[in-house]
Amino acid sequence: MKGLHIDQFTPDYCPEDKNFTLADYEGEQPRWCKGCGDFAILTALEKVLATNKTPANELVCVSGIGCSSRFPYYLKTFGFHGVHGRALPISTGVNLANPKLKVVTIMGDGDCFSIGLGHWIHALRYNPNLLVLVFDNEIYGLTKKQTSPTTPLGTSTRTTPDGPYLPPLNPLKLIMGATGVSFVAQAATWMPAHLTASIQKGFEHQGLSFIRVLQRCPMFSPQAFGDGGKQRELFQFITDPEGIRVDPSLAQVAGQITHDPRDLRAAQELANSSDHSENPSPLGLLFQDPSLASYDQIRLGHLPSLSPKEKGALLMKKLKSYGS
Amino acid sequence: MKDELLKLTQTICAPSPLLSEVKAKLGMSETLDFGADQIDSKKLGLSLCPGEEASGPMTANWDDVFQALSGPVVLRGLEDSDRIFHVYDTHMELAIQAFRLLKPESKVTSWTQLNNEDFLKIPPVVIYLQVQQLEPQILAPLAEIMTGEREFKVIVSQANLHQNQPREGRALPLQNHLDLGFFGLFFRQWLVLQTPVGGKGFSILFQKAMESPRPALISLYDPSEANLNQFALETRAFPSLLYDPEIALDWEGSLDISQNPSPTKSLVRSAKGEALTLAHFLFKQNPDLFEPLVGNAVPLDTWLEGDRSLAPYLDIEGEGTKWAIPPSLQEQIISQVQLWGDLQKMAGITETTKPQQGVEGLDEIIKRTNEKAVAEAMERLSAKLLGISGIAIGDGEITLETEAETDSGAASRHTQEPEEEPTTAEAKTTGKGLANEEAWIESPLCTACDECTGINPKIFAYNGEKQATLINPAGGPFADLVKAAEKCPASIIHPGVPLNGKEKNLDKWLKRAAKLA
Repeated sequence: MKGLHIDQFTPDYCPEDKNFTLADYEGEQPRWCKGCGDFAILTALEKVLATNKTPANELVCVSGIGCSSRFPYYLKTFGFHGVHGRALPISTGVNLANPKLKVVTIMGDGDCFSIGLGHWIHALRYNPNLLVLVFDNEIYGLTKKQTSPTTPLGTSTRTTPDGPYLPPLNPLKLIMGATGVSFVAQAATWMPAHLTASIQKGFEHQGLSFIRVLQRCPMFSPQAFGDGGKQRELFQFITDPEGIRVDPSLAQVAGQITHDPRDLRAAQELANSSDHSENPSPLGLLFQDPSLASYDQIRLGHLPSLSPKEKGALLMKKLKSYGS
Repeated sequence: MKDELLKLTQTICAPSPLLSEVKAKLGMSETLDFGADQIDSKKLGLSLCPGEEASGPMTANWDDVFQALSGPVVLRGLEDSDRIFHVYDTHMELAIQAFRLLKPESKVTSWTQLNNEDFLKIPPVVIYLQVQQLEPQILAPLAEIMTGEREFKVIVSQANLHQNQPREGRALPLQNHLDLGFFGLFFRQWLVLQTPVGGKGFSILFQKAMESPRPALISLYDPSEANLNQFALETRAFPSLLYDPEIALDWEGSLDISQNPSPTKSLVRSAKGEALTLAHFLFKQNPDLFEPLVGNAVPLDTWLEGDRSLAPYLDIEGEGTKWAIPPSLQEQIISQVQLWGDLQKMAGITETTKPQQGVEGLDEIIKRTNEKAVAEAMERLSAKLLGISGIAIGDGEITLETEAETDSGAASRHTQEPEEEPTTAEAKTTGKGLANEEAWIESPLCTACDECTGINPKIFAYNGEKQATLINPAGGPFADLVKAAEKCPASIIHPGVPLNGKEKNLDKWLKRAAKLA
């Protein structure tokens, strides 16, 4: 668990009229490889935090294991570097323990879609108030190029030198089949303005905002997603007034598709057809249902409003009742 | 002289143009000080942060802002670099508040994002250090300040030169020759001014250094005896130099020593034809170093010309006495003459200085590539602006200042009328057509992946929005620009054309750059 220095809680550190800059959220010097898309995500998140004037002591960044999961060290907020695949249960716990804290959960494709898949589906169903960013570079990068659930056929890796035996998992298809999903978006690191807008949209959402961020690994999957995103024909932007804004300059570099993110069935169809090797992959807001209650609202809604003293008394009463 | 120096600094740096603009914006009288005017702080806060009504106005501390803008911040001493950096950051933060008031639509959040014009409106943070004599202890804190990535104006004024006790034997090479001018040149990106206070053209040089958009190290010799300053120049004991990396990329273009007497000569001769050397300066400053000559010796002039059969002696005009030059000083005197010769070489000054000839062939290649790059850049720009692609730009529509023109400008700076010569920096600001052939980067599309800043942090740096910007295309070789462009995952770096036609393997890098287009 990473903490903040006591000085950072003084009124000078986060006064109400403070003009937040990216530097307010910069933690340690990132040790990612040069050219890594993780930098873009870190910057985009810092921009969103600065725009929303989020005090560093009101945010917790939770991660699993992987290159992406070094994120909490690089963000000058509270942080929790968890164990492999378990970032979501930890995040849910943080959210329930103190719903006032904003929680950002960071995972990689292996972390979330493989070892953490069980937690992933259930977290989606629970819909806790989390901003979940999954960095998908189609490979296990930290452990030097092993096949991950999203590794495309034909990709030679250390575990499957002749390429994976199975076609890749389409996370969007899976997520749109889960019950209780409230926010699903997809962005890419090579379009930083769109990525920032996507994270901002997720940040505003009450409930679990799931954002899959497409990226390459400069060392082990530089060709991921069409030459690291350079094959623009493989992507299309989702445009909708309720969705994520697409900058006019970006609109020229990829196709566009109109889609209503409130339409569950349309989102499921879009997710089904989103295998980028066949159809252009959608970038933007696939689905959002702001009416769904988040898990902390449901759980805490059942509890009576108690003062700390009353809570303590209740706890003691329960403890005493054990074994009787 | 100390007070006069500070006064001069105040005169150059104040009143701050930024303060005038802020006062004009607020409808305050230019002559009135802040405090005498009635300011509605709420209105002020709102004008600073439009759209903030809902959450209440921003309560900027305007006393601090105005104080910061009223003139240069002068710090004394170098030891506490943390405090110095803190003062700088606070000063700049306040100045940025003022900028946001002037331009609410501006996205500027840090001084590093300001252009030269705006940056120069902010009164500088001046570090002022006055010492009797330079001590080696100054170098470590000075290096810390100069590598602190902040734009200070560091003024170091020393009252005595070459005052170290002469060493002998094996200790001779260990003698410290603290030469701040050369120390400053090591940093390459800092403007360096070395000159005696009150010497020829001092005010102009000092003003140039204080008003440059570059951080500056100003090393001054401020003797207690008034006539020693000019004598330090004449004897080359403290040669005047101005290194301004804003003007050109190479030593020849950026180093100016033309303000020294007889800059093309090795030594200055007195009215009676006597060659003036460091020995003359030292004799004037401290005659105790010399003893009356006993025995045979050769005149210093002859000795310097190569006749080292006997020890040299100094024959000061009108003194009538021959003075022996101790062995400990002999090497120092030769070294100083050679140092001046090296300075001349670096600045491209010889006895017969001629404008430099360009390297044939490569210049042609660069010129051709320039024209192609301009056409392509214009096409891309037009397509981007109009939202369409495929606009053809006729060759005839593009006018281009050739490399040869700027070269000659840089090479002939050392003539008597340097201000009439065009320089790269001037061409940049006056928009004489060079802009489009330069390297450029589409910063808003940057993914902040650290590739380019890792390849060469002198060329690329992040702005406050963590988007890579081109801080100085001349900060490194063309090869670095090409490598960065090749590595950039977002393909937003455009290396332009080489600024230095003499770079190694240029053909290879031009070919690789062509593939990126």
